Amino acid sequence: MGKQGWQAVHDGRITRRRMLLGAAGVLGAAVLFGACGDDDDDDAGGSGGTSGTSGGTQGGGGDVPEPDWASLLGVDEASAGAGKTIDIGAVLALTGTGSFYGTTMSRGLDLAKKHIEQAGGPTFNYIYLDHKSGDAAAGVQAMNELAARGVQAKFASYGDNLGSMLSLTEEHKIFTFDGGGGTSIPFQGKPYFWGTRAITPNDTLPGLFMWLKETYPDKKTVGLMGWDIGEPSNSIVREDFLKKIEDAGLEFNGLYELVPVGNQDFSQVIPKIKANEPDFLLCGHYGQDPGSFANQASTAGLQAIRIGFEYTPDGLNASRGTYDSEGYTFAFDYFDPDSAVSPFATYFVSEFRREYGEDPDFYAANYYENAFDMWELMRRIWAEDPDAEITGEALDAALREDLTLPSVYGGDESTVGTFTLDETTHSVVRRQMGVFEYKDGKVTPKAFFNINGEDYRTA
Amino acid sequence: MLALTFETFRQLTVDGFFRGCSYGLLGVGFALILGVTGRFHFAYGFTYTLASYLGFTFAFRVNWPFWLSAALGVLLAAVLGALIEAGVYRPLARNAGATALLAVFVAALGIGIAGENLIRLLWGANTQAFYGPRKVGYELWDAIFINFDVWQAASSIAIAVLLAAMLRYTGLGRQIKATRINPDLARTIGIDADRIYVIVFFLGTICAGVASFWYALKYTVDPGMGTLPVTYAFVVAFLGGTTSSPIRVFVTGIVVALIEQYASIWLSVRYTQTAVFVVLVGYLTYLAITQSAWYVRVRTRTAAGV
Repeated sequence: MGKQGWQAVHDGRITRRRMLLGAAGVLGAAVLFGACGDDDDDDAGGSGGTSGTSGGTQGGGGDVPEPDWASLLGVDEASAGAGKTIDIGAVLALTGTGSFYGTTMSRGLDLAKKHIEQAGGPTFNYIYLDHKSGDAAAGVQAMNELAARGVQAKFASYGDNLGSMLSLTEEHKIFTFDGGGGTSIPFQGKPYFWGTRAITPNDTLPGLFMWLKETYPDKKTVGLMGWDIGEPSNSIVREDFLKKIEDAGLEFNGLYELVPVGNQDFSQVIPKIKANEPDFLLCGHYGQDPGSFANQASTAGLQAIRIGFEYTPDGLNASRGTYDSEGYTFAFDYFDPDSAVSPFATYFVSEFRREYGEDPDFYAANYYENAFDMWELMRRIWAEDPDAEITGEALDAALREDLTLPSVYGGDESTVGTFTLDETTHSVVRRQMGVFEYKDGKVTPKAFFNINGEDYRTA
Repeated sequence: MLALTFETFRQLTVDGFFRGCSYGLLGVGFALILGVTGRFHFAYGFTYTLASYLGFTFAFRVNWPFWLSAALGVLLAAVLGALIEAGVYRPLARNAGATALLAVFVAALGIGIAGENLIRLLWGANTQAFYGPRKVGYELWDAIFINFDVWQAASSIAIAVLLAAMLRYTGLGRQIKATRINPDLARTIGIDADRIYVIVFFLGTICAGVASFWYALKYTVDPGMGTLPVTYAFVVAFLGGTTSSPIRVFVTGIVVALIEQYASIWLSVRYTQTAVFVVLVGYLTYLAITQSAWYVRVRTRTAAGV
């Protein structure tokens, strides 16, 4: 073979290698640009996209003027804490099946931090730690890290990670707001731990049962499928649940199935539900789980009227269009951004839309509110002594002085809304909740009520 | 007390079969890798997850056709599986000498953890819905299932049968089996054992990728989705036998899933995974007893009529 021929073959080999490298480059670039692209296109594929009034992408925003914090929240420059930096833990579900929560909660916290600084308050230095969506070991590790750093306050979720962090919260006196999981029934009255949302599903049940009886007068039996949160919590929740069914004059049909947190495959539980199908099936699970369940329950032809206790874009995504096509009824202290009236709430909604290009959900609202409430407690401490050190004990004492705190829920055009905590249970004693339905990209309220079904009214 | 009807039993059986096809395929891939190379490839979960994320990215971020994207996702994950063997496990095993097994095991765990976090970094921690063809429901024998279940079962069975046929009837299959029995001896008769290892990793990861793709189409994808499948793959591979035919391993996967499904008749769903591990422990105990000196002595005496 002459040089020319050899060169031709050699060139051919180079060309093939280049082609392979080129193909690899194209694929690599596609993956890299694709992966690092927009993270919010949940409606890819169309059938189950996030859209509509609530939970949908709104864009715009930022058109509401900053409120006069002094008159709205009673901020006094002398006790506002400008120039101070406060370390605050935020132990959230940053990874795992509940990572949606971590994202939306941290958005609320981050926005509040910015607004608090703008309003002349201190700088909140958040220490974000991950409890991996309900992992007790991860929660304990996070607590140890916060204690080692001497952190005095924290925001938490999942009922302080399903109870695993409570003993360390007490031991290290770390003042805690849990606006995601609340206290739940089993974790009520735990030192330094306060749940700022209604207990789900239990607080909702009286009002929900009123609505169910009114809407479906011929139906009687109730069954439940819910997250397994371990003993004794499961039994405590069950006991309260059965009592509330009885109080409402309904009938428990014996179906009480517990499923693992983050479960997506319901092929084992659905046949059991079908074998003992109640009129009303209460689904006490959260995140993407209700969406996955709705999708599979629909395929399996479950006839029971299903009620969820949370609505999130993550669940909507996992429902793969079932929420849109069949509707999804849920009952909890849902935050409706379009019904926000107080200057505090409208500014929050407007700024959230501007910052993140979408509507704030319940969790973003709660953690935004929690950060402002933490600042409120600090201001109470600094009002006594501007140089006072912020400790867990001091925050707890400041809260007990007045258990009513500002809220983005409720209020009117000139007044900020409030919620009130109970000194003994550390849970809320008043908080507006309701029954809502999501369908075709829109959330529609059905009924509103308060704890124990008080102030019940249809929407 | 819940009433158990025949309809419930049938639905559990049908669901168990479909779920078992996934377990079986995962087990086939894991057993092939473990049986031939002796590597505890716990980064299997990472490649499982990556296949879905790559398919998702090509389909919905780059907007390539759906089936092409899915196939590319599986293939690229398989290439990565092969690269892990060629680029990490092999040099590590060569240099670690007598501790090669441990070195590879630790490296596999490390790659699995790092890979999961890399996915989190690149794609975010949120779950993603992988929309594909339209879901269609069917009812047969009073049991309900969907088209994805059928396609998943068909593709899983096809892969297991093809792998079994390849191992039995082709030259490559014979080379793989020779390498599995004794890689050093295989080298002396001209088989490139290193190449066989890479091929086995590629094929094993294809199994993981296909199982992952069907899972993603039925549910949602998240960076941690590979943790549980790798556990099931290990259990199925171990129970089925890492040197057994892919068909036997595949059937073991179906049996494991059925045990899990039927356990839910008596147990709360939260305990059904435990049933699988009870079976595994029972099997290990059985092996320990049947291989003990006492048992061998008793059998020998019985056979001799003493």
